[in-house]
Amino acid sequence: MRGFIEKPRYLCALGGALATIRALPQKTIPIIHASSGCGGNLSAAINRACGYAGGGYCSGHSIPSTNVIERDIIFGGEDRLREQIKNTLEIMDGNLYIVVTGCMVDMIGDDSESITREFSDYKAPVLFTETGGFKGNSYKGYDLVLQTIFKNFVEKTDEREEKTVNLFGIVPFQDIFWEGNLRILKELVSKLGYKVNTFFGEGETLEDLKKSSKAALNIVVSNVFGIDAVRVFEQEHGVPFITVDLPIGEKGTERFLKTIGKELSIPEEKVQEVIDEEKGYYYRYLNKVAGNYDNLDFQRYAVVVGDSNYTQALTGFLADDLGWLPELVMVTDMLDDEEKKVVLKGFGNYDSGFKTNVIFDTDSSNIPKHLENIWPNNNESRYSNSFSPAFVIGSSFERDFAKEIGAQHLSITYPVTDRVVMDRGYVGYKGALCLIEDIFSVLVENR
Amino acid sequence: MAGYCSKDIGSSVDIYLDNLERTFCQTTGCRLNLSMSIFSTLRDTVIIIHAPLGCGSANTSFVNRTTKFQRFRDKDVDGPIWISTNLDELDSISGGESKLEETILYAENEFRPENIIILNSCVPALIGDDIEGIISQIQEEIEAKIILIHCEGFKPRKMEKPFDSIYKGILDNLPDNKSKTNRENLKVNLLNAFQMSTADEQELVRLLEGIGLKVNVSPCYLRPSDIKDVLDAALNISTSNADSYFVQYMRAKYGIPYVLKNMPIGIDNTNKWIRDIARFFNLEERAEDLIDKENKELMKALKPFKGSLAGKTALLIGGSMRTFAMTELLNFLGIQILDVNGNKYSSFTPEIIEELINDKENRIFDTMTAQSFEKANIIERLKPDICIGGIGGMEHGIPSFSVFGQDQISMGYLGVFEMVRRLDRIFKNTSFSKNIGKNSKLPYHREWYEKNPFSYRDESGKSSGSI
Repeated sequence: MRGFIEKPRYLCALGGALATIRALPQKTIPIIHASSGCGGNLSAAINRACGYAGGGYCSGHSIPSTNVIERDIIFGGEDRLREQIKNTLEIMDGNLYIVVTGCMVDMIGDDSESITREFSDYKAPVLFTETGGFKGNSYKGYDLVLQTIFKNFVEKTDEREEKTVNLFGIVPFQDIFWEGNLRILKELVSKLGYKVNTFFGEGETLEDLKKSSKAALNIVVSNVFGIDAVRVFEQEHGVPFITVDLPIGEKGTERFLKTIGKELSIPEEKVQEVIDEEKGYYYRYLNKVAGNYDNLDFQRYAVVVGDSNYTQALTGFLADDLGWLPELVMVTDMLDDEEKKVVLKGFGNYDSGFKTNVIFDTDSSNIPKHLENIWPNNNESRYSNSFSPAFVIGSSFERDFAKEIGAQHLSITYPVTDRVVMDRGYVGYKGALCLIEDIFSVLVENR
Repeated sequence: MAGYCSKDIGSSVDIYLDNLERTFCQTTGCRLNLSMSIFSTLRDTVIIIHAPLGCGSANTSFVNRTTKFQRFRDKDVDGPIWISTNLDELDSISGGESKLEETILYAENEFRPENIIILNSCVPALIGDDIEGIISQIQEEIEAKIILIHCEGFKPRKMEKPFDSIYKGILDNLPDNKSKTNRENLKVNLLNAFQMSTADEQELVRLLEGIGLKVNVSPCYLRPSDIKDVLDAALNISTSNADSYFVQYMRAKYGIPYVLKNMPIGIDNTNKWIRDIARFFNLEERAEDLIDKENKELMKALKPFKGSLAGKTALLIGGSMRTFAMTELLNFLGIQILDVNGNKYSSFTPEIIEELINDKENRIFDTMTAQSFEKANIIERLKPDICIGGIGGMEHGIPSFSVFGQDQISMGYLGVFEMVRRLDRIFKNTSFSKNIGKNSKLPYHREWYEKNPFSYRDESGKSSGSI
């Protein structure tokens, strides 16, 4: 049993499912079987707390929903669902429809799956995923939708394309920079000579998704997100998977490329060639601002707050690329002990030798307490070794906390309400340049 | 719109509403969303959402804005705190009572709030959690006052209902008796349960103070303990039918009368609103002086803008009072209204319409809700120059004008001026919506636009798809 969560930084399973479906390419349409408010509430979070970029085709209040009421709860909502699916197909223009459910209809025992199956002859596939919000958080919703797609949409095949890989683990909208991040990772792995399916994002097609079973390897850019789904993929289609850390910056991305290179038996020289090229580009630009780092003193103490993917990547980047001092990390995911152990491994062995403090805590208001614990007596006297100059990288929730400790702040992890995010990505070498641009811009904002 | 109108609003508005069901629906909002928006404005309060994680998560998108508005009243506040009891699949079988109990104690010990507001959702209602039982037991152990608001999402259909449950939560916590209030004290309550922005509120307070009244704005953004101040007033002033339950209850129980006739949006509507209030306090003369002075000043300010908007066409979309109130301003500006769509009706509505619209014989109303597919169909048919009220024009290449936003002003004389200025600004350059219109596609089959926009309304009562 998991306890209460103060100011949660994720939605429920239905929310994660809707965000995931929103990110699928080519007119994928969700059909919600739930109360009227589920979709509206979750869409507001997806649109306005994710850098204002959750709109687009069939988003927000355009999403079909059965809007069940008390009568359906008492007598069952199956007829209403049947009617809604039929009329959705009539009105809404989609290439793929996915029925998702809310808590209340799962609880009353509607056989939503059988009702959905009645539409299996329709020209476009109509899939079903049970996503009652109480099943878990956004990450669970992502996992559940992927499992359904892998089982019921991806084609069975014996063919293998040795030069194709699939990439998972970047959860759309929970990672606000998902689209830019996927583009960058796709470009990087392509440079190793591979075709990369990312399923979401630029240039992806439903056809690629359907044929993704031919891939040689599933790469999960996370140690916890999407793992159950790729296990299902492995069972259904025999494609093995590896997990890699989300890479931001030189050190992280080099590790990322080398791990994948090794797994795919790519000659080391080939991998090194890609690393050298990207690194050249990275330092070409970084060198241009490097002088100012010393002159204007760009080094900072830092607090990093967010999900396990970003906190790992950002802390490593700050410690090993930027030479910062990320003293406190708060990982806000709901994780069990095993998962915590795995996640914790991502926070050690820095080249710089820097040691950080990692706290697992889902409750947003606890951050000041954790900082007080690792850095007591902050700013108490003229000669105190205070936690400054400092910088907080987290969500928009941390804006006030940053202000209180006299730190500057950049919102990167969910929720982000004080920035607009479009095609920006922070991973790899090129994304790290973007990130440096954004962080350093905050440092000089008052000049 | 001939041939496509649904029903003229005459009598039996409520009866028609009961039949407002569809065989195809899109997602909208629920009681819990609205309750969250409203209650998160209260200071020194912890909100417990007794639900799975997702309920109320829209709050992540506006919490910083709420904090900003709270700080207008008190610069030292920390902003809204909310806790989800995080009900999981196991709880949905075995019950969520112990989690609720644990959460209440945490809220008390960690934050020491004046009030703990529990928003109850669909899941505990289905499990049958004995929430009242828990509260009565735990209330004795803690200092914070616990208020329970039932907001099961599957329950209400009309949007007023959430306001009712919100106000009920407030009313249940007021003392039973009060001494009779004298209207000579000139005290009024200006009700704001999230129907007006901070800027609206400031403008209306300015006007009411202008005729000599003492204004208590309630309940949004208050400390819960300050809400009882509503009992000191001689009159309740409402600008929205969302307050109807509250003002009627206050009249019945405490003998405090109310004014709830129209929304002070537009010049005449604002004049009338002031006059209605002034009459109650015998302040007519002061009111006429104020109205005269304000109108003159406003007319002068509007002069440069007036001609530029005449002849444009508009489609009105949105909640009834606000939407209907907008007709006056649009008529004043010479903007032709192509259709009026109100989405909320209550027994108050006909009177409001009588107040606002004299030529209802000639105008077609339909009870369109926030249903995007109907909106898309109608916009495509009518092709207005601007969509006023909700959103929805962008993908059609048409600019939209929102009448309500927490960051905007629409009420009072300043509201008129600022809305006119904004309309004028929008028409100065509509390139963005034109560009988007040319480069985006709405998610509907082409055939949909050829159908009657109301084809999926079901008046047989068989379907339950609600607004």
